[in-house]
Amino acid sequence: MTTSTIYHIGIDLGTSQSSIVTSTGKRLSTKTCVGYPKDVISQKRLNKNHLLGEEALKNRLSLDLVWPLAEGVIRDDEVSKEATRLVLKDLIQNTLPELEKDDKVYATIGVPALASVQDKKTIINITKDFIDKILIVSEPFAVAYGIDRFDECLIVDIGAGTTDLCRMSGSIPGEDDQRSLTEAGNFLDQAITDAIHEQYPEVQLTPQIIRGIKEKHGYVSDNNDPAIVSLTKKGQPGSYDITEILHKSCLKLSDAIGQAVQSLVADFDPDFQEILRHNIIVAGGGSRLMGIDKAIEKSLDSYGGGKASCIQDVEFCGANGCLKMCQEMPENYWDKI
Amino acid sequence: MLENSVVQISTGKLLGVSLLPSSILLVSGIIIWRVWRNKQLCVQTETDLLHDELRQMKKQMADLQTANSKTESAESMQTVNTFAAQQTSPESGKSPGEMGLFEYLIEDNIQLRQSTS
Repeated sequence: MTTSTIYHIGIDLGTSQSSIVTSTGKRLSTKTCVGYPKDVISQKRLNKNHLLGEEALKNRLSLDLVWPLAEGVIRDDEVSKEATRLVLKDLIQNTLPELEKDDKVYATIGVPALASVQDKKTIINITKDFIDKILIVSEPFAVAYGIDRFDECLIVDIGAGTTDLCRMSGSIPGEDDQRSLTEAGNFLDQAITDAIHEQYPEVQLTPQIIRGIKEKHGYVSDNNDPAIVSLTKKGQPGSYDITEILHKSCLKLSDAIGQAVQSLVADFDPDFQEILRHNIIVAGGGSRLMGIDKAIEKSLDSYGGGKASCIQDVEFCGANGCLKMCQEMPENYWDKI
Repeated sequence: MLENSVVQISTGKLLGVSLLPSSILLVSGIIIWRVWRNKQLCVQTETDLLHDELRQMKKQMADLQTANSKTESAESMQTVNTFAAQQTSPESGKSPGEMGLFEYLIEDNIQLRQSTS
């Protein structure tokens, strides 16, 4: 006798990193990229039609890498759609190996706060053949849901493609309660690259090198250890002091976020502004930037001060919220879609 | 006559001597093969049974884990329900009590599928 099981999953589809959490307790995070062999030699060496995530990055010299998302949404071309489909399918297959033909997958996927209808529909279309029911929700709202914060608080989700802000006030956030900024992880990478090249024109940089520097040395606080990095110039290695460069670049990001926080505080109900200012929750990969919470607090000095704190489970907080929503959704509601 | 008898007896003995070990080997081989085949069939049957049981257990595990997660989130559901009672849907215009958070989300997603843009 065959029995059909319903598996619930929560997915945070990110520009740089995508995460999945399943109702069976599995969780996985991968780079949102797909690599296709460049030629017959690489095809023969790799013996695969495509590689995904970290494996693709490791073999990037033999591959044409595709990063299918830009600013939090799938790029509008067939290659990107197919690459996103492969990433999502792979995440599900790796976390639900027990999945059988008769089983069903119900998913909730988080998207940037102000993603367009077309962006959301693209996700529904590309997942048709391996997700039975799908719910699209705002990513910062999913974060708030995951940590049970429906009261007055401000979620700041700093991703790679977008920084999403969502003001919670005990009701479902509307468009006015949300902001989506392009000043996010990738913006910071570009700012660091430009600044290093401006000071050291011939230094060789790749996105991976920049990401490594940012994750190790990135900071927005006033005091930090010197950031001395080893880089190559025409193949010759050397040590470069990028402390100031890094600080200024990181401030470009934190300043933009600070301004968005200020605007969300400013047009909130005056009676609740103080509570909002003191309940800022920073999530997403960008929350790892040293001192980002303090920088946000500092941006609110002229507003009477504030309190920001970084979420613990940065990598999976969005996916956790999505899964929670997915599991708590009554079955009869699922039948409607 | 005597010579014939001697020849017959000798031939019979010779044949017996040479055929007996072969027969024993043949019979033993057949017996061993049958025992081995029976054992293989038993092992195959047991493997199939175990495989079925394992699949069932995996299913049960998945169900249990799902049920467990649901129990853990039951407390937060209380918060959600309280929260849901305060909701309104700008699209449907339904009253807060009728809607609830999940209905709002589903409604939003239905509209998303129906929209033509």
